[in-house]
Amino acid sequence: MLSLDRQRETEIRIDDVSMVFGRKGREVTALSHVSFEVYRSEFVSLLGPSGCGKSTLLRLMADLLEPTSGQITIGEEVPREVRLKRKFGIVFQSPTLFEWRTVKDNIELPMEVLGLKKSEYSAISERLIDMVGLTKFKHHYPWQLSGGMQQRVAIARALSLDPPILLMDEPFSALDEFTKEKLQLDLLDIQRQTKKTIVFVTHSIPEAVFLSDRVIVMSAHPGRVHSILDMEREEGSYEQIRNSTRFHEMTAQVRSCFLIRSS
Amino acid sequence: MSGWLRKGGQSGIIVLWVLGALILWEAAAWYITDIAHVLAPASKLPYLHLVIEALIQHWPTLAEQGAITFGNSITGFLIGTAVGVILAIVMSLSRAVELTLSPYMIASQMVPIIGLAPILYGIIHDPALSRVLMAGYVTFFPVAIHMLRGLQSIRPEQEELMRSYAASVWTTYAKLRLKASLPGLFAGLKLSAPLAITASIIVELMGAPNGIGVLMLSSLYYGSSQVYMFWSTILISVVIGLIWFLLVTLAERLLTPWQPEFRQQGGGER
Repeated sequence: MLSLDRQRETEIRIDDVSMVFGRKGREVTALSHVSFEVYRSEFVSLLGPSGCGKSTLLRLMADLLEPTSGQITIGEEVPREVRLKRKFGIVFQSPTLFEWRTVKDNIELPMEVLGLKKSEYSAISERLIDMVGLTKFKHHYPWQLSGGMQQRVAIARALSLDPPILLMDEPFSALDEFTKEKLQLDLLDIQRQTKKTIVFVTHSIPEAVFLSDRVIVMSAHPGRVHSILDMEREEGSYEQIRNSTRFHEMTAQVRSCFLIRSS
Repeated sequence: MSGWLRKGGQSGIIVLWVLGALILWEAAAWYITDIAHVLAPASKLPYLHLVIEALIQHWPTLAEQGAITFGNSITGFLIGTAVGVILAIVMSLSRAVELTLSPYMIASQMVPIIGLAPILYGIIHDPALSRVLMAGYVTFFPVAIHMLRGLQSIRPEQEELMRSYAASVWTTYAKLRLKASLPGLFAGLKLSAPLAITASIIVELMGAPNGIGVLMLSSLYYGSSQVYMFWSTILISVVIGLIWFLLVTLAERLLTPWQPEFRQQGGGER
């Protein structure tokens, strides 16, 4: 998003959040005093090595876990209220499709759970299937699709209730390089069209730099925010962006965050 | 398991398979009787056409007694399935219940059915009920164990996903766990379908007054003159067992078309 006229309206506020797993005497601190904000319609990556608590942080936002201390507010609400109002879609590293459902049925699952009528949601799922380019495969079962196609289904499913927020936990890390690039571009397209707020967990520096408006660099043991970097994104084709000086500068800048720590 | 059932030309393959078995049988009987000149050849392996002749001749008796046995065993199989499914669901809901029940269930399967059948019949003295109970007894365990494994086979992300849709506990169970358990359920059913028939026959061998097992036993006592009758009862049991197994497989195919076994089929089915 080149336009710097972002209104910087806060969508998600993480306020001094800590997370400790395990019982007394064997505690593992996954997150220690983490604070940051995510703005509306912003693409934010949580970047860091394994053990930095980035996935935990995503699960806290999704109300799949509760913080040991600190507070998360999304809009004016706590994650639980947001979840009950189905205001976020979630995409995991594995596509997590239901293998007994076809592509269309998988995408319709959230709407079915919500209690919508088939006549109401059929058009929505058709549109989403077209958007992720799986029109020919809508009656296929997951096992008939490649990993990349399966992840497209998962993205379409996350969008089916048209939530303002998309939470993505390393969604492309299990895909081959070619598929990954294609899906990254598609995701940017989707965000351009839908203006979703996207929180994207990754351990790939180029991926974070390529996709994000801002990168939140995290460090491990215990997990905490190391620095928050603005990516000053430019428009352009994949090659243009990847070959731009800015891209390399940003990549180097992010990488230096990790170098400083290990030296 | 039922690989030869898969393809389009499956009925042709079945016909070939059955024909092959019949020809082999006839050839082996011919060798025993007319080439090797074994003593009392019919009691080892009689000619198939003579067995079929006896089967046609005794058809009214065989059909009547067969109906009793297989009717009871199917009732027992259905009851055992219901019990197995309920046990699996209850155990999937509570780890404590699972830990409490499983030793009993496993112990129950250690009792040899050949010993249990006469005990049970001695207590309740009702042949029909005994057959039903024995068939149910051998059915519930494979069904419960395999279905439970299916119920527990879901991945944490799948549950998290349902949670993110604010799905109720019941919706999550119905749309996720129950669906995921169907392949396991059918694995259990396919194991126990032939067992249920055997269990009912064993009740008859152990004292019940009627049924196909009684015909089996009495034709054994009367020696060579009844040999063809004996083989007819065996043949009928095999055929009924096969039909029952095929019915379960068919149901499996209709209800769980996504399973790997049916994948050569392509995406045509919905």
